[in-house]
Amino acid sequence: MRSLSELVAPSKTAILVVDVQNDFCEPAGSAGKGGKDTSAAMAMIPALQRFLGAAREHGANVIFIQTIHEPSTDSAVWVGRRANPDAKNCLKGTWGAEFTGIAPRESEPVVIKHRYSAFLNTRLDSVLRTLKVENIVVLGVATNVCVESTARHGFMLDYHTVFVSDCSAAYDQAAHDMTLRTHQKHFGHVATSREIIDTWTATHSVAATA
Amino acid sequence: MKTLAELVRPAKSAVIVVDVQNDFCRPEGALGKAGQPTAAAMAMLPNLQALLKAARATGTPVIFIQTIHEAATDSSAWTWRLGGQVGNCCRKDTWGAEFTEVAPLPDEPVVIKHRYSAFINTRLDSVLRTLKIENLIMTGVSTNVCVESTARQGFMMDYNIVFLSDCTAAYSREEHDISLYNMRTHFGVVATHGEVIAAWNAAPALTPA
Repeated sequence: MRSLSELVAPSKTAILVVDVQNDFCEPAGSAGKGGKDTSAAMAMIPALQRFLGAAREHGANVIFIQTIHEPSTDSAVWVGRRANPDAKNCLKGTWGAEFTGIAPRESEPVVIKHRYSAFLNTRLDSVLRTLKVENIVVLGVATNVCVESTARHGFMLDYHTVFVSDCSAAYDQAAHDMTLRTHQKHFGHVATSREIIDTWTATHSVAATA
Repeated sequence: MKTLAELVRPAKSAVIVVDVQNDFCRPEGALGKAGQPTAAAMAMLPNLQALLKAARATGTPVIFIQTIHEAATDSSAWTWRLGGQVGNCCRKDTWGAEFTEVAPLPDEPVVIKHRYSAFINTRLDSVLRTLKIENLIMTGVSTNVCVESTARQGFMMDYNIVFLSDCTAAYSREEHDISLYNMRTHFGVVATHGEVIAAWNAAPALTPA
């Protein structure tokens, strides 16, 4: 069984930042305006910023997942998930689709998706295989929808999967908590950003003194 | 938004029976012997049997999903969930891998899977496209693991999902209920087997001529 330090070993690991976008996080975005409580999403952003800073410092790969909706992927089934088919989010080219409080660096891939899972008909698996990544560290919003669907999918494609509890947020605390419980029980490991950063720091010190 | 009658229309819908296998359902199966309460799984079987009988009477295809574990698919990530052990659940050619109180008819497809979702590296999507299926009626165990993983992926592949609350079971009520919440809120419609059968009975015009 892999230890946490193996599960987040920088050269074998990618951080998947899922859907940290204005329409899902900002009170003025479409979810917020639609009555969803985005306070947990906004509250986790400082922890996410610190975590990405540490990931970059230690050389872990950072990949941004961005949901974009447009007519070419608005299938009847997909649009039919809502009682009101006109309720749209993350439309191509809009403020709502932009990242919230974080931004990819020049060298960091952005993977566009059109469904909940970042693996569903996207280039993510190709990007991860190119990087020779074995572990994914998932975080973002919403815990129980896009992050959980991505984590489930990634695990079943044979990536070791670590869910970062305090860099993910849902619109409902009970749903957030149950996702973490299901993940820990059946899909992978759950850790805080602090535990992962401490692991990187400890491993780095060991390597430096070797 | 589609009505339940449209979402279970026999020519366009398939009943997906996920992992109704001895190791997941029977007290003397692998999970039961490991201390997981299988009472809910055993208790829902009469509902599932009634649903399958009605599905066959209306001409709605029934597809059996069967988990089989063997060395060829026991990857590092997959065995991680059991602490790196291979485990003893649904091993190939064992009693534990056999179906529990349901069985495919000779013309009903069985799709073998090696992960939680019945779509991951299986022929399920090809089988469904061949049948021109648009809607999946989800049943089986466990609600929040294999059935939910399959429903999530199926929805994202553009199948409408009807998730049956009383033909699925988990190893705790809480896990079952939050799975239904996720399904209802983001992935599809949650219904009972009685509601589906009533929709079939009320819509004779929709059954194949």
